Amino acid sequence: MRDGRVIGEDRRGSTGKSMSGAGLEIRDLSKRYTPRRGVVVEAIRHLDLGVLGGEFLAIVGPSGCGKTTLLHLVAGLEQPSSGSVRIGGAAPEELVRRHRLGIAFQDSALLPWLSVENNLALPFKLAGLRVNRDRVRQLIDLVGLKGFEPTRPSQLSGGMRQRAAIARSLCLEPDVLLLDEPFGALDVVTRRRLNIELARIWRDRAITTLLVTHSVEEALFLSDRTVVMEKPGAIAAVVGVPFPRPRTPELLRSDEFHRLTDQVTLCLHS
Amino acid sequence: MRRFLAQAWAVILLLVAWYWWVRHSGLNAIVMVTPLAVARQLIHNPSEYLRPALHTIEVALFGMGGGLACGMLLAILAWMSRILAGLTIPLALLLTSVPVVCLIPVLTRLFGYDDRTVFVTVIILCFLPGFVFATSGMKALPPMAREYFVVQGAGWWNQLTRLALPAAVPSLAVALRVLSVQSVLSALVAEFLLQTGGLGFLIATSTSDLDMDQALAASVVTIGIGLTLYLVASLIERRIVKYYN
Amino acid sequence: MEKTPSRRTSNTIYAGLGLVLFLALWQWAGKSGIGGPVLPAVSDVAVTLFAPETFRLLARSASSTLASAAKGLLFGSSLAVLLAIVMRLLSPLRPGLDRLALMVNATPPIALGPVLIVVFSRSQTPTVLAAIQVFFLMYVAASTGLAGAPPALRDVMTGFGANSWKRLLHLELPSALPHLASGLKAAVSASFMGAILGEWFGAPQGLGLIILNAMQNFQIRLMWAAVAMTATLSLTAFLAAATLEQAVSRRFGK
Repeated sequence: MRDGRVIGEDRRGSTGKSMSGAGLEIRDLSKRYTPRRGVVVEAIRHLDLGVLGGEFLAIVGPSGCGKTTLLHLVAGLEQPSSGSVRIGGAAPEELVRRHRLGIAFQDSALLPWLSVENNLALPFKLAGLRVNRDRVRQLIDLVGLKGFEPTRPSQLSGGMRQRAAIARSLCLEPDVLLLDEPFGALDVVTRRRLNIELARIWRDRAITTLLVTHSVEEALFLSDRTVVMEKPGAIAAVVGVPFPRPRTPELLRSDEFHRLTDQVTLCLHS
Repeated sequence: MRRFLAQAWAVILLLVAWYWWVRHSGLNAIVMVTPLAVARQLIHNPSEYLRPALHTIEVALFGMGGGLACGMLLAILAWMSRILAGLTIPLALLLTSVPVVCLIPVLTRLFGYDDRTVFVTVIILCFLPGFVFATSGMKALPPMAREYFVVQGAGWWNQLTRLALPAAVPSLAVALRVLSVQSVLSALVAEFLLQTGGLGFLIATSTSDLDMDQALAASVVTIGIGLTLYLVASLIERRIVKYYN
Repeated sequence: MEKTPSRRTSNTIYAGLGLVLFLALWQWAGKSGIGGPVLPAVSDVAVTLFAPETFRLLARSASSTLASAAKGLLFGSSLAVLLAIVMRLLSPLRPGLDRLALMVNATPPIALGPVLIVVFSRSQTPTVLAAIQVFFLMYVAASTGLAGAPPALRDVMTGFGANSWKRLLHLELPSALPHLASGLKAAVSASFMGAILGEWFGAPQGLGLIILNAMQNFQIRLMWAAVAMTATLSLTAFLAAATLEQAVSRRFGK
């Protein structure tokens, strides 16, 4: 039986750090598309998934397995064909309305006509709140972009833009953080560095996070649990990630980490 | 000096050819004039051309502003209502292919032989390019920017003023450049037909009187105006593109 | 966002609805007399247009205008493409010609009217004016198109030992075709505008002339009928050019 197979230890509920943020409940979720007349594509098939408050969940899978669709459904960007998504008991639209979601995409989606600082000020303005300049500067410092406040996105490297995008997603201290392949467009070296950065940033916050990625290494390094999806739109396996927090760069060099990475990669390709 | 020659050789060649051709073509000097005669006209009677020139410039600039504003207004309305967009945008695109100058007689009959008609004509002829450029500009968003705004719970006003309109600015800069030519053209054609004043009127009367000195001098002035507006608009466009990148 | 079949059909429906609404509005405005005698209803215009006598007159004028526009299009485009090719091979001369082309573009056609009726005849002015309007558009399209071949492909050709001429023939011209086809769309409209404007300077016949005379003689329905015919002709030509562009893009585009 493929569905719901668990590899490694299931560390759900024993993370031992402060938990903040809402829990995610996905029940019997399905999403169907009609790209052409008479052709129906099932992107997600009867998916069940639960994420605890403060848990970091990663989703890996081959292209076209529906992982991005899943994220879009959680973000309220798309509507389910059947089933439900609940964040802290409420529908995604409710959280969107209250500006409680943080999101970062593979494209940084920074506005090219605004400076970094003003881009980070944007979430406040969109929520109709007074801009908290201290918080903005704090976040810029946190992601290592200190001194780049007045810079335009076009003058930053790809990695720096993604740092800014992630900082922006944290501005309003969201209940849930959604990351859609945020480092997908970067080279391996920058990616690895940003993974370590993200682990550090996340360490003190522990927001409920959903990360979609095609890098198994990234998923296992950052998450408490990794879900392996398969085409079309179903869960092949759930991996409990046994490594203690905080996650350090040394972990990336350990044998145990490499073994788990190989195992999951094998699972992905079979 | 070398750079100037590299840029200007074609224009200089044209002027020289013009002069040589008039001298040697055996045409009656009354009918076709040399560049020098035209220059003399302008230098000796500047006020004769200044007033009509100001009239034309005024009509062109205000008409361009009015047309652009109306075009943007409709573009914003189309942005807000998909139904309106579906109804108007294909129609607008088709209309760009029609020589709108042939509508000027129609507009003349509708609004009368009035100076206002010239103004209205320019607005209407500048409205269409303004609308087309504003609409396409508002759609040219940075990738995933719209999705970001949606997930952040931005209302339609914020989406309009903080995303769609700023994103449209580069396209509007191009529109300015196109309209700088279109507005002068429309103003001149309207003045030519309605004969209520301005350089178009001057060209019409001097052509029918066969006063070629004056006609060509007026032509040169219009070329000067058109070129200046185009260069100013190009400069503005380049500045804006630089600011955005 | 991908266009699903339902989206595409709804787009076409809306477009058609827009056109119908526009015509209906016009018909209502004409019948109710809101615009006065100068705004006739669509039906009246159609009646005038298809009445045998007017139709013959309009058809004759139309063929004259079409001929001017077509000749202008041909001459303007050929000259533009030729010049662009020459400039490609003689690159130091290019900035000068670009400047001239810019000036030509910024020149209002009205300003050229007096010159043209003297240099050419009044009956040739529409063709020449159309050609000038077309020239700039096609020159820019040809220049950008010829320069637009991907540098990687250019290097490949040089690697095979191709000289500039061969490279032009086998790489740059074919890759310029989509640009040319797209420029042709705008050029078609410009040629019509040039032809009509040229006729206003005193051409012996043509649709522009009919429109002008009808305006001056208060023959409202004739004026509208002529405008309608002009619009239909230029629209058809534009759609033909657009179809050509699509075909060329498919064959030569990326």
